[in-house]
Amino acid sequence: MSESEYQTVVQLLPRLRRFAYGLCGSMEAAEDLVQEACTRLLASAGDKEGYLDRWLFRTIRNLHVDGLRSRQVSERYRHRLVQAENDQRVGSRHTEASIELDEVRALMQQLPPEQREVLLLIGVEGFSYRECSRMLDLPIGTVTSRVARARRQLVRWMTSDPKDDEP
Amino acid sequence: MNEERDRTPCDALSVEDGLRLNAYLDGELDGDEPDRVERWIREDPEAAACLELLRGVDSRCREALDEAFHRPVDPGLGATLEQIRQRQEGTVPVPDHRGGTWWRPLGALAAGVLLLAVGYGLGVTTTTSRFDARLAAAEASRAEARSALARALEYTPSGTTVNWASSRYNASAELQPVRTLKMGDDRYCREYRETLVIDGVREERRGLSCRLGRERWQTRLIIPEKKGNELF
Repeated sequence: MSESEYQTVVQLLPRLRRFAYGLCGSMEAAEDLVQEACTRLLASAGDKEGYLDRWLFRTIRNLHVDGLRSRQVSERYRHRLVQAENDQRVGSRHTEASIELDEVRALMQQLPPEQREVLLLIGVEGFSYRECSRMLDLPIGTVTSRVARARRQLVRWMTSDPKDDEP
Repeated sequence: MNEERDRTPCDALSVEDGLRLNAYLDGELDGDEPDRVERWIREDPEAAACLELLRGVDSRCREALDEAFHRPVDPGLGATLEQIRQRQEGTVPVPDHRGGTWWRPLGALAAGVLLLAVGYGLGVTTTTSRFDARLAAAEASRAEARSALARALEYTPSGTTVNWASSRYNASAELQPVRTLKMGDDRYCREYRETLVIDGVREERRGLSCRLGRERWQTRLIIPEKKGNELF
């Protein structure tokens, strides 16, 4: 039983980290979220067979939201987010490819959080509208319109002329 | 941002039509709805353009987060995973969470001790490092493939396929520039097809990339040939 739970978590791990990274925009903070979700899984009772994936994604999302809202969550997490923001301001010493990916991540962070989480779950992780609405406790209609608004906004931003064209 | 200048084909659609396109993209339509949307896309170039752009958003976001997807697992997390594996066999104490944060440093300490004391015996180190090596190799392969693509876009005529294989990793690609577009500001962009095989996993996609300088290309759009969330 726990072996299969373990296998599921290991298999999900890359996606969980991608989701956490998309939510908070900082790799270190994302690692904290995933680590904390796994620790909570370890501490939680009951078999989650059949919905472990939804449980983990939901836990990561709730930890992130709590981290922004309440004092209960570690200062370290908030510190990481502030640090990541500062790092982005320092500017870039990366390759072209990674600058471009930085831009996409920055645009994702500019989306309202409620649109961003839905886009990540549906557009990036491939969950259905129903699964997403269950994970976030939202009506399907809300999920549907949020994913559409998020994509439309990103299309606008991504197709606008880049400011930093070079010869 | 300037709203007028940033108008896209998606902005020309009604809210209802926008929702339909998104639902189509996400495989959420039932019955004959998908067929009806496909007919609509064939007849309405603006809707078709919007659909491609929406698709591109997902793949760009996925690509931008790839770094986290392929990142090596750190030992702390590896130890927690090992605890999950062991927990019902009674060999590892399970931390009790009561809503506070006291357990966090204790959990980390326990994880560290576990890793040091029994990690080798339980095989966690071996599992983690094998995992790490594979993910690191995949990441490095992608970086090499991006450079190969930039070279193909720089030097290869449209319609010609370039075969590339990594000398260091189990990775190869077929790269084909499809056509060249001259943009209003005299920049050149190229549409291309790419089939990437990393560690036996095949990815096919089309993209649009614009030239920044010699062998320097910026991808503006990537459209996967099939929607994939493969883990490795």
